[in-house]
Amino acid sequence: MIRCFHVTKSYGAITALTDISFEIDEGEFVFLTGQSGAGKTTLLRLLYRAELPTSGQLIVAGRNLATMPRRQVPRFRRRLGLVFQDFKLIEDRTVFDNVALVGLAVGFSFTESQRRASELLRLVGVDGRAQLFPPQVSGGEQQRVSIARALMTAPQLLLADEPTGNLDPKRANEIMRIFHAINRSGTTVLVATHDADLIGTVGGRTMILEAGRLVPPLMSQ
Amino acid sequence: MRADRYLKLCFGEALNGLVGRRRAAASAVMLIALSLVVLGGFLLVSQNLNGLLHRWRERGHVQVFLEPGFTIPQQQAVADAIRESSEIDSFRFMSADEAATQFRNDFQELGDLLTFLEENPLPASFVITVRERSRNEAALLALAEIWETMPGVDAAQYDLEVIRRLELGVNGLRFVGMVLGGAVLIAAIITTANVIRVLVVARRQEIIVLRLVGATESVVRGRFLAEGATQGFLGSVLALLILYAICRIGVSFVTAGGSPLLPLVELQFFNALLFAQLIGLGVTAGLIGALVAFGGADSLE
Repeated sequence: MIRCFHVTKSYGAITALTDISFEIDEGEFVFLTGQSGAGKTTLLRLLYRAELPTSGQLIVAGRNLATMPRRQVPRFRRRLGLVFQDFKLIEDRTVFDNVALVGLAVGFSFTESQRRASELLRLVGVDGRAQLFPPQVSGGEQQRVSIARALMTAPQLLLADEPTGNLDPKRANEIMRIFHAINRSGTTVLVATHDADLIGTVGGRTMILEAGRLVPPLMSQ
Repeated sequence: MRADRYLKLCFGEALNGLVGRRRAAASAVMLIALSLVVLGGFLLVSQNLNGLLHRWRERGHVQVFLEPGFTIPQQQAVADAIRESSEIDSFRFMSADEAATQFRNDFQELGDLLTFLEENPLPASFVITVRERSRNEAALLALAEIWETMPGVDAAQYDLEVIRRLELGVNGLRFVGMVLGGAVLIAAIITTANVIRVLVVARRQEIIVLRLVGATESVVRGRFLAEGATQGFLGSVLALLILYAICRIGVSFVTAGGSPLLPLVELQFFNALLFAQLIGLGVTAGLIGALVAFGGADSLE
C-alpha cells in the first residue's frame, strides 16, 4: 500500500525527514510514533500529497506521488481517509451535513450521499447527534464524525494524525477500537501518535521516528 | 461528476451563501445594477436617438427659405425649378404665417413669444420631400446648391446636416456612457470581490476540508463562482427592470409633451441581443469578482 524509498524533506536549511525508507502492506495496522517534532505530521503530509518530498520516491496506493500531476491529486485523495487531531469539522454545518457534503463534493447523488452519511454515522455511534452542530457535541463524538467523514469514499488507506490528542484515555480507546474495526474490514490504517499508551492496544506494527529519521526495526523492539 | 449534480451543488451552496449574508450580497447586487443602469441607460438613449435619426434621415426633407422681401415671380420661379427636378417626390409652400402657426403648435409654451415680437421672424419656405433614391448627402447637397443660387432664396437646408451633427453627439453620448458605466462596473467588480472574499475567509475550513477529501478544484471554487455569477445575474435583472421603468416613463413623458419630433419618436426597449449582452455583462462582472476573490485561497490546505 505504501512504499517509501530514501525520502528526505527539507524546508530551506531545516531538514524535517532524512532518508526515510519503509513499506506498509495492504491490510496492515501501523503506528507511527515519536516525540513532538520528530516528523510524524510531515511524513503524513507527504503521504496524502499535501507536500512533495525533496528527494526520494513515495508510492501510495499504486501512485508515485513525486511524479503525480496536481490535477490528479483529488482523485488520489479519494482513495484515502484522513483524520486529524483538531477534527477539521465545519462548525456551521450539522454533524450530518459535515459527512454528507463529502459525498456531494466527490460526485455522489444527493440521495446516495444522504444514505451513506446516515449509515456511517450509525456505524461510529453518533447517529443520535446528526442534527447537532460540531461545537454542540463532545470531542470524542467530533472525532467519530471525522472518522465517518473519512470513510465516506470507502478509502483503501486511512491516515490519522494524532487522532486521540484532544481526547481523554477512555474516548481515545473507543476511537482506537473503531480504527481497529476499520482495519479488520480490509482498510490499511496508519496512525501517527506520540501517546505510548495507545500503542499495542489494538495490535499492529510500530514505526518510530526520531529527529526526522526512522529508527531501525530491531532497535525499536 | 455529472453536470447536473455539479450545478445543483454549486448553485445550492451559492444560494445558501446569498441568503445567509443578505446585506453584503445586496450591496454587491445593487452596485452591479447601478453600473448596468448607467451603462444601459446611455445605450438605451443612444439606441433610441439613433432610431430617431434613422427615421429622420428617411424623411428626406429639404427646406428652401425665401428672403424676407421676395416677390411673387421669384416665388413662382423657385416653385417651377423644384417641380422640374426629377429628384422631387413632393413639395409645398409654407408662408410666414403658416410657419408661425406651426411654431405655436410645436412649442405651445413658447407660442406667446411671437406676439411680443414686432414682426414675424420666421421666413416663408418650400418644404420639399426628395425621392428615396436621392436621400443621401451628396444628392441633397447638389439640390440645395442649385436652389440656393436662385433669386429670392435665402438658404436651403436639408436635415442630413443636422442629423450628422446629432449623430456625432449620440456617439459622444455613447462614449461617455461607456466610460462612466465602465468605471462603475469596475467598482461593482471590486465590491463583488470583497463580498466573496469575506465568504472565502468565512469558508476557509470548508475549502481545506473539501480539498483534503478529494473534491476537485472546480467543485471547491464552483460555489464561489456560482455566487458571483448569481450576484451578477440578479444585478443585471434589477438593472433591466429599472431601465424598463425609465423607458416607460420616457414614453409617457414624450407622448404627453407634444414634442415636434413626436411623429418620429418610437421609444423602444433593448432588443434581444442587447438584453442578453447586458445580462452577460452582469454575470461576467460577478464571475470576475469571484475569481479575484478566490485568488488568495489557492494555497489553502
